[in-house]
Amino acid sequence: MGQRQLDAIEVRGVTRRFTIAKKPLVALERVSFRVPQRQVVAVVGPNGSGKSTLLRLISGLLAPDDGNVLVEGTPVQGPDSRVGLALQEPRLLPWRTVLQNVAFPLELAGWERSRREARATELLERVGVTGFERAYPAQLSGGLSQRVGIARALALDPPVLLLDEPFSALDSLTRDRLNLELLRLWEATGSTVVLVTHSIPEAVFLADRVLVLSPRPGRLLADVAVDLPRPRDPAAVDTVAFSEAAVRIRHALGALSNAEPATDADAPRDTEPPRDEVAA
Amino acid sequence: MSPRRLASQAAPVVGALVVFLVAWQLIVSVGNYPPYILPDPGRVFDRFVRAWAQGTLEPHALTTLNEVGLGLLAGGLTGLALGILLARSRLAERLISPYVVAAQATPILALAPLIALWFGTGLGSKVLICALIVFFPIAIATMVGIRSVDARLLELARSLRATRWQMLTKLEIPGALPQILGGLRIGVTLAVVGAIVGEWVGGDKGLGVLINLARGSLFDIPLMFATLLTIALIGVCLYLAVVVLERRLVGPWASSR
Repeated sequence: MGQRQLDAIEVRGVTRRFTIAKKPLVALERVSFRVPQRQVVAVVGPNGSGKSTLLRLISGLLAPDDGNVLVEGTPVQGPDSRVGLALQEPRLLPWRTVLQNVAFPLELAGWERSRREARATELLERVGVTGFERAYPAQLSGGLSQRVGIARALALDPPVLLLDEPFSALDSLTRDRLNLELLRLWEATGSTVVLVTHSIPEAVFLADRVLVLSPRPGRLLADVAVDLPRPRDPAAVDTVAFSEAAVRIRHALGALSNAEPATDADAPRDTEPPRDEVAA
Repeated sequence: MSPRRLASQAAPVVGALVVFLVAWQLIVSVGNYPPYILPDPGRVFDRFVRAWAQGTLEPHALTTLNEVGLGLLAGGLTGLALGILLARSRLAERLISPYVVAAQATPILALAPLIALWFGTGLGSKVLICALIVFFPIAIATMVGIRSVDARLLELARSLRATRWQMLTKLEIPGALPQILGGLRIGVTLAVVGAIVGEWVGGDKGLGVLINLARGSLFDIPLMFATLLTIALIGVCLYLAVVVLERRLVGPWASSR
């Protein structure tokens, strides 16, 4: 394998510390991995494993204390236009209509009005939100808001899309449907995706590869390849390859629950509040 | 709004007004006060209509309105700028806010003669008095409003590489708008007070001057009341204008919550 394609993301020995309530803590410790172009990578781990921190480091919102992050071969220094970010809460601006929210990144980038509105309309169609262009975020359901948030993250056509538990606040039916839509969207755009999730089945269903992080300080425990064909459909859940991947992830997480009986790392999905150790 | 809805909304307002007027009339009738102490509402209304018809009130009202408008503009803009500065910098807040609060705590009635002494009794000093009294609620409202803008929205804008100016104009000010407009509600009514106080200290035109005239050399107490009524109406109209502005700017997204 001498020939090396440029990786979409390269995380090299990244360590990040925080001081919270005057106590220093290590959120991530010497984490390294590479993500080739067009791959979908899921990051799982219990609360406090630095998942959200990892996404913020890749997006350039945070800088690592040690190590570095490269996107398409060049270092990330500050918020990066090559990275689109969609977060747990969609963070729509309440005083802007749906259309204006999706057009917001374009407006900041200096696009003129007619162009950005055309682009926003097209993006909303792509995520399946039509007829709500003039609505305000407060009038939307959770699922619609998340789609609008994703449309906004796609606005500048970033080669890398980061999703921080995008559907964790939604009911499981809506969540399953949106996951499927997300896959279709990914197939159409072909961007590289890193998504953080609490759910092992969700991670396996969506990703080519699942990274397992340990509780604080977050370290890379396992890098599990998911051997499922694409395009995927809901039936993939019933295959042997699916269960195998899920078991290996559970093992990686379970190994740490043996070492540290206090953490209930195996079934975190519904019991945990959807909060991570975001920098205060 | 349908006529029926309008009627159902207006009914209690009209009712309260009737109660107020009846009470006023009762006080005058029962106490048997002469018109030069407390004229009854009919007499005041009569004088009000006559003063407008004869052109007594109009030039004074226009003068006062002009002062109020300019004072609001000057005080509003400095209040906005100061509020932004205070919101952005804790150091600025610590350094400046004691003086801001002290300036506000000093009664404007006590400052007005000084301002007249320094700047004369022309338009400038009245606008200054107006602005001085207006800028405080706007500055505080702006500061509180900007500080209360959701930090997660700021992080989002940062991830989209918003410049400082974009942060301010597209995030902080729109986000703080409900509070800023709340400050403006207080500001417009205070602006009227400021203008009257300024005229009281000196000047040859304006509703404040007319009050002094009506009470003094003219000894026309009904005219004084008619002037008070005009001042109150200006205040109410300005306040309503802010409410309408609020509905247009904030209503669509805030009311749908």
